[in-house]
Amino acid sequence: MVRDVRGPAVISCTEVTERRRAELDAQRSRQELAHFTRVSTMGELTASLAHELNQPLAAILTNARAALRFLDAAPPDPGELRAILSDIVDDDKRAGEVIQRLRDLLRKGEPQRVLLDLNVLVKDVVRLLSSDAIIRNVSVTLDLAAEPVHVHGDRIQLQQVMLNLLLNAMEATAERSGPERSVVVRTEITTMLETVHLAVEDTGVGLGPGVSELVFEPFYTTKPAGMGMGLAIVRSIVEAHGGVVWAMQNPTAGATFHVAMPVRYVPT
Amino acid sequence: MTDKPRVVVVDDDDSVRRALERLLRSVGYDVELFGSSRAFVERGEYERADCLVLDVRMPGQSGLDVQRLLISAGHDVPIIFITGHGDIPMAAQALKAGAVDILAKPFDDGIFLKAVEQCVAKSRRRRA
Repeated sequence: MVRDVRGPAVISCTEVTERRRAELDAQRSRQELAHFTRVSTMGELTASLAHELNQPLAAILTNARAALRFLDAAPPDPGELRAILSDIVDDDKRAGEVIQRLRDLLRKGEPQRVLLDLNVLVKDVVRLLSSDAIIRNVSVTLDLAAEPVHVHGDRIQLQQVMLNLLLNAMEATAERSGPERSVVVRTEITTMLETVHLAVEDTGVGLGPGVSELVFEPFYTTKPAGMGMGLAIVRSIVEAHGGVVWAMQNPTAGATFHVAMPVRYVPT
Repeated sequence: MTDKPRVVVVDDDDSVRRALERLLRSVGYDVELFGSSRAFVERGEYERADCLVLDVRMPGQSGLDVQRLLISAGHDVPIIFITGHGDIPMAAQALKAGAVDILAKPFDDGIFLKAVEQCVAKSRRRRA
């Protein structure tokens, strides 16, 4: 059942060197491609983002109109007006945060490795997709490690990993009808292997026989409009971070996508 | 005029809900708020509402689910749908099922209040 997270057991030295060189050669184009997929992922998220912005905008407009009407009352209630203005300020910030999250995700640049808490990253991406989950009628549950799950990595790239895995899981789950439409995201630290483990479990259509290896291949897709790059990008980013990815069919329904990466211990 | 008309708002967004409550109260309606379809459905007493303002997309049961439920249970409460998406097929479906109006967020207060008036008139006519 459990696959060795260090990958195939036998690798010759030549293979390693060749792979390393190919890796370096591919780094540039991978960055380009990752940016491109990020931009196209944004296309898929347009409905969700429009909703995220429409909510605060609607609340701001309605609050302002209500305030104008309250001002016409004699005498106007300052407490009421103060509450309205404070809600308007909060909603403006809320809209600003949506834009900021978008900007973060679309920023183009050299990868920067920093210390990251995977739990925080997961929460950010899940928040970004919250409207999308509602639209697709899929519930997303978090089962995160109680302690921070530290890794050394590029925030934007790892956000991309999370985004692709989550979108993939939600799409697979939305295709299936029935009451059980849920996605669970788990994080944990496996001390023995010195790895962090991220799992995205869906109750979707699942993987066909022999597909669990293919899904990470570039251009492999089962979706009519799919490019087949989402999971290939996931693998290339995770491997560039010294990690591995794998997919498994769940015993009951759907599939689980796993990511294992070296843990980064923070001196306390 | 008898008692104040009662408008029920069901929306999962706290801020949108509060804003609508203020707008409706500013023109003299009695307002009742629910954060989810479930909370509204569980409370029951649908007939107390003269107008039901339903968000279309909410976690769990959607506004359309609530509309279907009310129709199948024989409750004829006039409904206004509000939505953060421009979902045309869904809008057509809601209107065909008898919704008074469907408004895309963010909407103008005048248009919204007019739709509410229509709802209230409709439910008062039915009760008279």
